Amino acid sequence: MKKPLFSLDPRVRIICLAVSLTFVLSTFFPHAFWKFGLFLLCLLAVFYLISPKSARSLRNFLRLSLFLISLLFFLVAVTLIFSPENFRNRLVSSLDLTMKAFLVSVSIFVFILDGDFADLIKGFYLFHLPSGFLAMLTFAYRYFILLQEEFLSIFRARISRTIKRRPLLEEMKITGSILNQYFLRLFERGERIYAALLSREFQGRLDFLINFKLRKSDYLFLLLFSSVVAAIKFI
Amino acid sequence: MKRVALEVNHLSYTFPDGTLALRDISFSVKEGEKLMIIGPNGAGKSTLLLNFNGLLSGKGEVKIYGEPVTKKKLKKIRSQVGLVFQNPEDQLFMPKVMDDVAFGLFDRVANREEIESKVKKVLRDLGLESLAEKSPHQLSLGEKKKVSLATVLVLEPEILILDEPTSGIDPSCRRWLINYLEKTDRTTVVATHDLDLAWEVGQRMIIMDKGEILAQGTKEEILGNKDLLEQHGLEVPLLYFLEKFNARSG
Repeated sequence: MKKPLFSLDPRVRIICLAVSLTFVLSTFFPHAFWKFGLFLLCLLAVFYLISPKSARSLRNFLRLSLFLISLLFFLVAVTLIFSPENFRNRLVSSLDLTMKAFLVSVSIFVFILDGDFADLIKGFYLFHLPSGFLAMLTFAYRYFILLQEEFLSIFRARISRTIKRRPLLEEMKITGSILNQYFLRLFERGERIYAALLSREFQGRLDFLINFKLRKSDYLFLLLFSSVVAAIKFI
Repeated sequence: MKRVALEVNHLSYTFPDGTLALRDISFSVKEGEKLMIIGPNGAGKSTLLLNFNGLLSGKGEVKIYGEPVTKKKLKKIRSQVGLVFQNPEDQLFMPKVMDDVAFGLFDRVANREEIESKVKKVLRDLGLESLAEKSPHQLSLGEKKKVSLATVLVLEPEILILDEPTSGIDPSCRRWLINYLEKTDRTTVVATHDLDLAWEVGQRMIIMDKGEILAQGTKEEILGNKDLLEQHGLEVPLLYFLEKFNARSG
């Protein structure tokens, strides 16, 4: 993975995300499409600066964009089909909703998902977010990948023992059994993880070692980004 | 005279579904001793280990340095007993290795610099410094096993308990672990069916099957007893034959 042009402190990422969300949620885009366009360009510029620019990053960004554009078309179609008489009004509301969803998703992708999530959790920790929320995030991050691997291993076992397709009803029964096993495994794993937590005296609170500091460049980036967003909002 | 570090008296445990997992288990481990608990799959070895730090609670008594393992004393017991689970995926729950190793220290050490220095020391001692910033899912199984061990060792437990430590790891990692266990003077209890490990590291052995202790003794008495081992799904370790052959050839 290449190093990004600009490394941001996780706290700055979180604040920038908050600024983005405030802007998006307080703006009615159909009355100012140019604000949508400008802010999107701004996010793309930030993405270029702070993304590790791996092929995976770009691929994820494109997938997200395609999904959101499809969602827009779907919403337009649904609006047209179900309320043709109020089509114009409903379309405007749907457009606003979709544009907001698009920008929120892109903001989350650029500032949260495209970075080191483990460091981001530490950023939330430094902002003194509730320890229950932090614990949830930490375990979700840690075990999401494990759950994927567990699912994949069951799936691989299934297909490596399948020579030909079975009737639909039988396939559904087998899939049901597999899901049953999957959830049983998850439950058992959960019990073992809890036992491991208890044996290391887990009291419900997680603490982290912090190995990053705010630099002048972080303050500068925050100031610049906030100024640009404010300019787009109020001009 | 060495103190008794771990004492088990007439311990029995039944699972919620009614399966009797442990039947009247009694033994003791002196300070600094290395005890190997061997037996086939389903013998009750892991279930027995979970009773040592109060994760399971059966009938009978378990004492750590003379203190019975009860709900009121769990905090103290768990600070004295370090348990390394068989599956490191269950043990490693923090997003980064250094946070996982530091986890248990936050309740004991107030100073963050001190926590950081203890973490760095343990990672250095186990050759894991380069993994400090990595996430557990980026590690190989052997690395995860070492990190699991680090998360327990950093707490400096008086008794180290390992559940199947060599399962699934490659020979070099296995050799590293054997060397580490041979060098340490901590009281160690290992549940394993790696009998070569038991032969190399163990001072005393317990053989279990179907929840019962079948025999206790020195490694020569237990691991040299071919009939006993074969009756319970085990084999005499290769190293036993090798040492006997070497001894005869002079």
